[in-house]
Amino acid sequence: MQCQAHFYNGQSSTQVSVNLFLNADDSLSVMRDDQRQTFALNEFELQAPIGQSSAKLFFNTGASCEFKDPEFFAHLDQLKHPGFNFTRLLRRMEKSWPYVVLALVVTVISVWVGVNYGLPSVAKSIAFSIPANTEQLLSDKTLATLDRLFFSESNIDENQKQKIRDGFLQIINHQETPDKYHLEFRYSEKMGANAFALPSGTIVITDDLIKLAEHENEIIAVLAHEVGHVHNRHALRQILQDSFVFVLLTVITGDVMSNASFASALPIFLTQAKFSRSFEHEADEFAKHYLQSQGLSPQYLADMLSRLDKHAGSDDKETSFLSTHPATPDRIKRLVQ
Amino acid sequence: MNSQETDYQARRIPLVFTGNAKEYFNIWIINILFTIVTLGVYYAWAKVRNHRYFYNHTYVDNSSFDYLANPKTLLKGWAIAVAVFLIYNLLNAYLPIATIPFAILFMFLLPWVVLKSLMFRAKNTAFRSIRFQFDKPYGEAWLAYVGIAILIPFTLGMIIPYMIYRQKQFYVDGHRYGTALFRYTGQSNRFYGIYLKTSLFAILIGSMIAMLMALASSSMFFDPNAMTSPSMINNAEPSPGLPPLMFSALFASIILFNLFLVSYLQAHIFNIVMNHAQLENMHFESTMNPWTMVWIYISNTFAIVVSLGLLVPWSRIRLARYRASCVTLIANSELDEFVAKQVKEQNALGEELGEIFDLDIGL
Repeated sequence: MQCQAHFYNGQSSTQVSVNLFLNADDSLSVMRDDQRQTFALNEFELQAPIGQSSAKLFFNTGASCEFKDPEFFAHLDQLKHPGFNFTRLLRRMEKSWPYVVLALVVTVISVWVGVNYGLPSVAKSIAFSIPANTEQLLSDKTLATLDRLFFSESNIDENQKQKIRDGFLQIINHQETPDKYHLEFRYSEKMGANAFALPSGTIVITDDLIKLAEHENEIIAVLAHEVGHVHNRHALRQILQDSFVFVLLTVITGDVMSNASFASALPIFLTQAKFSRSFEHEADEFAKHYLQSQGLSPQYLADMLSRLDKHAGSDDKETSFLSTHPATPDRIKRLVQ
Repeated sequence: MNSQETDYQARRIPLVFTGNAKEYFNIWIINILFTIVTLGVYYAWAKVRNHRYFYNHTYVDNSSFDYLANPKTLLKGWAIAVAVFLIYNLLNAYLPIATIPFAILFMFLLPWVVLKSLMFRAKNTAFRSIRFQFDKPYGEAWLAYVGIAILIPFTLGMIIPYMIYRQKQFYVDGHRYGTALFRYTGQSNRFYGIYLKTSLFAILIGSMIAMLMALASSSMFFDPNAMTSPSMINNAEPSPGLPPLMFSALFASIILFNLFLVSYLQAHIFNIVMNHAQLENMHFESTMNPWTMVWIYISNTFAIVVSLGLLVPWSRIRLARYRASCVTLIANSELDEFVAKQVKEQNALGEELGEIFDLDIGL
């Protein structure tokens, strides 16, 4: 068996046209005019072509050879790699559409499962293995910024504040690190009735929410929900999850999308990210457990949620488009179950 | 001119890329399949196969390039990179003050990684059985990548074009093909011209985007909770924030703007560097059109996003094909006369790190 090839002696870039001969004793001869050089099977490496490229021979003398003839390659490949050969399998898969479709399906499913289940659980275990003071860095200056931008002093009278503080103390005394949590009262025209937790453990409640509540336990329920966010380290987990998605995106898209452009848009991407559905459910669940442990009904949180929902009105259909916040009826259903 | 050169008719040899998207898609997806099945270990092999596809389909005078890196070496580098990353994160969490010496150390480590990865890439690139090589002292790498960068704030950024010029000079001058040395013959003034031009475009387009945004959002402002991402109990509240549509528009225009800057600048720099590089008595000619490059980058990004990543192979092939089609080698002698240089074995530590970080230190 023979085929045409280009030969390079490894000493210079001179290209020489040669003929390759496969001898009866399985050795390979490189023929040029009347010159002949013979190599045993173990005196060269055979590199399979990739796509339409040439097959290559790397001789142990430093010389190399390239040829196109697929039949010659297949024959030599069988001699060189009898039995199973991974590259051969790879090449067969790359040429057969059922394997390509299979790869596509496996990839899509893996990415979907990974992003929906894998990343959250990895992020969770990492978040819980990071020391508790890490989140302090995340929200050290946040409250000061919010104060400057949106808040003014609370107008709630001191008596009522003290009652709420007492209820809050009860909640945090059930926690491992009660020192972490602080309660702040604020008034905000723009935020209206609201409450939120900074990752560091500072929980802010607005005057309007206190006024909207029809029962003290409803406020306790809301505070328990917020403590649940901090306790379960949702902020850190969210950041970790977002960064994993970012890394995954970079690995898949590779050099086409420049990292620089993505990196610069990332902060907005991150800050826009709201707590995902499951985090809200987790915090609701936390509040439910707390209420039940105090002999209170989870209905208090459910009532407060539905009142907040009504209060907000339904004039803002738009926000639910991107928001990952679960619909209130669903949350209420889970609470009273 | 001596008689030897006048004897030889200068030959124009185009760079040709023959890869096609359909074929590469299959290779790409099978690579991903094995990477997933092996939980990432195969990534090193996938990367080599990927590189090989592009090298083997790039032809000069009917001979293609070879990529000869050993995946096991890449894997080792990957392990080192992960270890360094972990140590840094642990330090950051438990002993934040220790990240300061880490940052200083990084200033000395970065040029070393750049140098080593250039060496790795060159050593594993071959053409007609002759390997490329990269050889430069560490001091020069430090100067080009850190030393001049330190001066950026003191010169109000005016030194950036000079720094880029020094980096490209470092890159070209350090390479050799066999025993033949590459040489960079350009000056820094061209880089100043390009940066001035790009800055003007950037200011023009940037202010246009800003104006459009201001017009569209005159009655709106940023979502306070979006800025701090606390957990609001009451997200149903019509928050006085940027509506999703506006946000998406802003996000998209920042990406577009960046793509424009990166591709426009890259195309110009690619031309300058190519047109001033020499290899013995050969030189190169590059006629890349910066606006074509901008179009390719933007439409590629769009295609990738819309196809959820499935058009990544197509866009890579498209980019490689255009890039190759812009380059011509002008040879004043045969390509047969290059001679191999005896490569002395050197400490391989660190060389593979650059491949891991995918440092874009090429052209």
